This record gives sequence, C-alpha cells and structure tokens, in this order.
Amino acid sequence: MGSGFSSLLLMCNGTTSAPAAPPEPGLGDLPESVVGSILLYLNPQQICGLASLNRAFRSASLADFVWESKLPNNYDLFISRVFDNNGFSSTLCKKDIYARLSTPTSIDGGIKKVWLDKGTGKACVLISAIGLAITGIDDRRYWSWISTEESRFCSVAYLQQIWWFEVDGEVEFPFPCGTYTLYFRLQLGRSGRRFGRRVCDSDHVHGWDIKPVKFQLSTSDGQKAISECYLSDPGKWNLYQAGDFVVKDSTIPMKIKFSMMQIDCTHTKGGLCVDSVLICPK
Amino acid sequence: MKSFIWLETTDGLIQQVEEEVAMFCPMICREVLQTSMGSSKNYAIKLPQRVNPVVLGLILDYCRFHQVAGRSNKERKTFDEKFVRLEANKLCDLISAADSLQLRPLVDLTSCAIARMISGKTAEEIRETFHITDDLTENVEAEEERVEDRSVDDLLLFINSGHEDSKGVKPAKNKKRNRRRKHHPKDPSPNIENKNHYKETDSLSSSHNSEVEDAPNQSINSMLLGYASPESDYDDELDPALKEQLDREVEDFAQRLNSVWSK
Repeated sequence: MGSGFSSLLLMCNGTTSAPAAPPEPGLGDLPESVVGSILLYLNPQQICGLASLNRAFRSASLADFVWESKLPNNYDLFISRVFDNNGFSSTLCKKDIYARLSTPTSIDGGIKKVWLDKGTGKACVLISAIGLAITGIDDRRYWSWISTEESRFCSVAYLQQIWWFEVDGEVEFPFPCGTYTLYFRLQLGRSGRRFGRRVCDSDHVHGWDIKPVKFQLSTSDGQKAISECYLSDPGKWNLYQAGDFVVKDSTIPMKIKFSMMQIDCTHTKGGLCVDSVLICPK
Repeated sequence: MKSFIWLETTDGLIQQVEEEVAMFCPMICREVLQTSMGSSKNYAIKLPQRVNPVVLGLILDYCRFHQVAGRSNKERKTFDEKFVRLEANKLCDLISAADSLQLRPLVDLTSCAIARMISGKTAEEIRETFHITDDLTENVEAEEERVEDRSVDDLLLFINSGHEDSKGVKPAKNKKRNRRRKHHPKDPSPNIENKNHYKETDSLSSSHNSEVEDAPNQSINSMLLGYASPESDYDDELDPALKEQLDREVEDFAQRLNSVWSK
C-alpha cells in the first residue's frame, strides 16, 4: 500500500514537469470553425436553436459559410427578380440575407408574394386571385370581390353561380432546384364575421358534387400534371393539389401555366371563394 | 522495404507509422515535404496539441483504410458508417484532432455524425448531456452587473452634487433612464446581443404551417420595430410639464439632503 502510494506521488510529481495532457475536449470546447462544419448538416431552425448553447456555437451560427450553404444556388437571381436591384443592401451578411429572403415579399405590383421556405431554402410563390385570369370575372352576375382578412391579399374572388367555371394563370420565376407542388386555395361558402365570431354562409354552395373540377399544370420544359377532384368540406379553406413539377436547372427561370376548370354546362355551380395559387416545395 | 514516418504526440510518446498511411493526412504530408521532418526518431514530427495517442490510433485506422486506392465507394461508405459509431466524447475528440490534422473528409464524416446526435435536442438538453457550460449568459450577467454598478455611481454623484444647480444633475438622471430603457429587448445595443439573437431565433425558427399564420407575426414584428425609434429619441424630448416636475423634485431632494448634511 505504502509503495503504491509513494509511486503514485512520484507519478504526480513526474507529470508536473512534463507538458500536461490537454483535458478531454467535449462538445463545448470545439473551436468555432469545427462547430461550423457540424452546423452545415443541420437545418436553419436547428442552427438558430443551437446559437444559445455557448459562445463557439453562437459565433458559428452567424458564420457566412454556414448560411451560404443554406441559401439556394441561384439566390442572386432570386434577389434580382424580387428586389429589382434596389432596396436590397449588398452589405448584409449571409444569415441576414437568408432571413430577409425568408420573409414574404410582394412582387409584380402586389399580386404575388414570394419567400424562401425556412427549412429547405427553396422558393414559395403565392399568386393572388387578382393575378389570375378568371372567366367572367367582370360580370357581376357571376363573380364579385370580397375583402377579407382570411387572405394574405386582403380580397378574394367570390363566385355566385356560373356554368363555365375556368380559372387560368401563369408565372415565371427562378425557382431553385427541387420538386414543387402547385395548389389552389379555395373555400366553399362565404365567410364573414358576425358579433366578433367567424361565420360561413354555405347556402349558395351548389353544383360541386355533380362533376369533379379538373386541375392542370404545365411547365416550359414540357412537364405536365392533371388531377381531378370534387370540391368538398364547406366552411374552411382548403388547398387543392394540381400537381408537381421538378426544377433541374436553377439558372433559367421556370415558366408554369396552370388552370382549374369545370365547364360542364348542364349544371351551374357557385358559392365558391377563390383566394390564391400556392407553389411550394414538396 | 517499407518506409516509416515518426510522429510525436504532446505527451511525449513517439511512434512510427507506415509512410503511405501518415501521408494521407495533409498536415503531416506538408511537414514532411516542407521541413523534411519525420525520417527518424530524433526528428519526429510534433503533432498538434489536440491529437492524443488514442485518437491518433483511430485516425490512422481511418487513413490506413482509405489510402488504399482500389476500394469501392460502397466499401468506403460501409467502413465510414461503422467508424463513426462512437460515443459523443470520442467523436468530439476525433473531430478536433482531424481538424488540426486538416483531414477534411474525416471532419465532414464526424460533423455529420455529431449533427445527427444533437439534432432534435433543445439547447438545454444538449447542455445537460454534454456538460457544456453556458458562457453566453454568464457574459451578459457580468455586463448587467457592471451596468448596475454604474447606476449606483451615478446615484452617488447625484446625491453628492445635490447642492449645485439642478440643471447640472439632470443629465445624470436622464442617462440612468436611457440605460434602463436600452435593456428592453428591441434595440441592437451590444449589452443585449443575446436577447436580440433570441428575437432572430424566433423569427427564423417559427414554422411555416398555414399561410394566414404569417400575417399576425408580421404585424407583431412591425409593431416591435415601430417602438424602437421613438424610444431612442425619448430622452431628448421630454414633455415640458414633466421636465418642470422633475426640476422641482430634484430641487426638493437637494434641499433635503443639504439640511441633512449640514446637521
């Protein structure tokens, strides 16, 4: 026992003269550049969440090389399309650029809104009903405009009744590479507020259960998608899927044409609110 | 005849490693080519501090496998997957050492593994699991303490100079108020960088579920932004009635103090 103890002392004395072994590094001791490499494999929400972990994580979470990897490859095209080269400061750090691009921005005179999806860094485009070509929109017998807070554009097109129901539109935008889905945001029934509560008037909803509505989309590089669906579920806003498309080349803006129609003229349909068309990553 | 390279870790341990294995590490490769070190025991290449013998062994295993040219991608991938099945502290050792040896592929591999380990956990959970000290809020607390001291100093100054013209004292009181104002988590002042970052955290980490959700968020954001500017101008444009009242209060207090001191 005694010899063991004295040899332990010897060891201790010995190690004080030699360079001390560095303490076992843990996650909290990693330098900022190494933490940055780890953050490359996490999504933006996770990166922001980890920023409060310790100082190294916080500095790494602000690093340009981390956020450059989260921005889409064609983000400079995106910026020039959305901001028209003015009002967008080139001195922003990459994280601020990402944050700015992730907030919805109005383009084309306010009839469209675009932003980057925070988790994936891909584009989302929202086109107002104002920007769509609706057959008979000028005829007050068929269509009218309702202002509502339930739309990002503050007004939606309301269909009273019509035989020929057709809504067309097109958009051209530098989408980053990936797969996107196109939806129509519709509601059966006219909603409003009474006594501070939301009410939905579904009395004029008719004709949607007889034949389905046909949704179509086609792209400038030849992709097509068709889907048919009965409109149902009155009283709430629903997203009806038209189809998917894939963007392979992000340097060329993708042009997409889309439509929805129900043109069987043996019956009328009505009581529908058309808000917008949404394109978002799958 | 195989050739070897001599390596020395910070604990003084010297070992020889097959040349082709050691040269797989850019840092060792550079040392050999630039300084011609490593050819014998006396001229062993001193490895960076972050490379201890245990982790060096792991790294050499990695190099030994990957430096063989004929392996298929599938083989390499399988090896890599097995290689990073280590516990967290070992992975941190490994990434640290690989970084100092500039072995980029291994840094990437371990980064991915660590990212997988910490993804899905909150900052609190990670701090508990990995025993990380929160040196961020410590800093903010220290700064707040310093600020508290400053305001006490100001108060003392105010009390001591209470018999002078009240106008001379007012700026000090305003300064205190201004400083207190700045603690609200809206202005981008350095003291509350942390809190400002939390605000950013919220705006970037809130999910994008329904479209209507963002409209109220935006209006809240614009409200918050709206409050920022009036506050910074506030102290320069005090309501005159309020100013008068303050003057009167200050004079009152000064008089009372004088009577106390003179006694």
